[in-house]
Amino acid sequence: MLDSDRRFEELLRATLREEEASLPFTLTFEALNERRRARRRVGIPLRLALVAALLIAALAVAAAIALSLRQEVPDDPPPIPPPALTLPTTEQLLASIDDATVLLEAQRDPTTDPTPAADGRYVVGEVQATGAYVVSAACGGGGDLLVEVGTLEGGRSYLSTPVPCDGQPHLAPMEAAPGEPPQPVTVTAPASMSWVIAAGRLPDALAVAPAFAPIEITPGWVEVTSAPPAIASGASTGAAALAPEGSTRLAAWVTCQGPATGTVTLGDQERPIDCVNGETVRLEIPAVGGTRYDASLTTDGTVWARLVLEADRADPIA
Amino acid sequence: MTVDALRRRRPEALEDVLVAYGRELNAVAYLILRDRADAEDVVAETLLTAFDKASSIRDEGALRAWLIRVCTNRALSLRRSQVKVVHLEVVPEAASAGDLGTDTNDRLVLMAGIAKLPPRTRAAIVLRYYADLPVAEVADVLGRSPNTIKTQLREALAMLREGLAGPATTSEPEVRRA
Repeated sequence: MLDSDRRFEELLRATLREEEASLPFTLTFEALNERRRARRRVGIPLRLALVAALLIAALAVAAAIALSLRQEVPDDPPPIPPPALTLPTTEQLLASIDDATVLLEAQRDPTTDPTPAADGRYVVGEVQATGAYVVSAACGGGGDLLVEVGTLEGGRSYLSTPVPCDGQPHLAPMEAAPGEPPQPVTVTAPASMSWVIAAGRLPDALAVAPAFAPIEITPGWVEVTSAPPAIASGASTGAAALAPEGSTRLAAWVTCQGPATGTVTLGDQERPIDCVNGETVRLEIPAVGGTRYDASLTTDGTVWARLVLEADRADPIA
Repeated sequence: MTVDALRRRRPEALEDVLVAYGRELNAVAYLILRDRADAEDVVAETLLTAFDKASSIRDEGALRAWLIRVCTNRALSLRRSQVKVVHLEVVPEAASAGDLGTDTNDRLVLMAGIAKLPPRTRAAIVLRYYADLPVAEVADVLGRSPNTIKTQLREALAMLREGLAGPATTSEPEVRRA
């Protein structure tokens, strides 16, 4: 190794160490303990929950019997239960991706499968893919469902994402490295929740990020953030940033490629974008330094997209 | 001792791990996420995972690497959330003579360059040059082959050196290719 390489690596190490030394660290043992206790309060052991449910049910039955013996006035008709939430099919989960290849699909309906998994964790299968794929899930019955791909300790690609139980598909893009071994997919859900999950490989045309042309920052402006290419599919995806102190204008550059059209939104402004023709658009808005602004791309299909945010100026760091 | 205490779910083991590794894990998470609150959140979850899953930690010697691996994966997973809050990352103006010491400016430029790296490349830099993990271990944490990591590191270092070399000093902000 050349001396200059060695010196540069030492500078890099010293820089990172200096950054760490200046970083405040406020996490305390008390805060950790409180977080641990909060986890235990939320996750009531299943056995206790079942025992409690049985006791409540037994008391309710006893009370109903007692009432029926004492009353002769007919009760009000039982309330009509709300219609059961119909969850999407696998095809519907992956509908926003044309020509997706289904890699995995699973579902659980507590009315037909009354035996829940221990700790509420269901290993639904493994995904083996090369390149880009998506994991899509939907659930009903209230609360959140947690989807994990890979394992924290496994040293491989790992995704952990909560899915709100509104009955709608929620997609998360993934990317598998060449030669990556199969990744376990796990769903953590309460026993009463119904859910569906599917993983789909993107068609070959979308499997690898395109080589987007460089975006030149407007002369006199400064770059705020530059996100690497990512899959955008259907629902809004994007980033948020704080406008730099001293700035009065903020702009978003969005470039995309794939079989879809979309809408670029920055703040309260929006502009259409044509991903079929690999269009790049720039959207500029007035800004106030220190204010957060959201930039997003919403498409009617699956595309690769890239986002860059720039501002007209930024006061030097104090 | 600590791993054994974690396996026995002794609360004081959690404090021991926090004191011994908390700052380092916080730095790893922060250097990847560039957000202090998110970094501390990742550290808290990492330590609680160690408490819950100590049986998967091989031995005392493996504890630090295990913690760094879990912390890195949590940070990268968080980083991939669809809506990201990106705090101000101003590209620093090149120093005029006499404004800042060369070393300070070099470090500012380096940190700005690191912040612009893709997340997994940034993680590779952090694990190799901050946590001082050998390339093979960096590869294992990030799920890539050692050769891929070496290539990533080489390319990242070249980009960072290029950023440091830069054009001649000027008081105007540079036009940068995104």
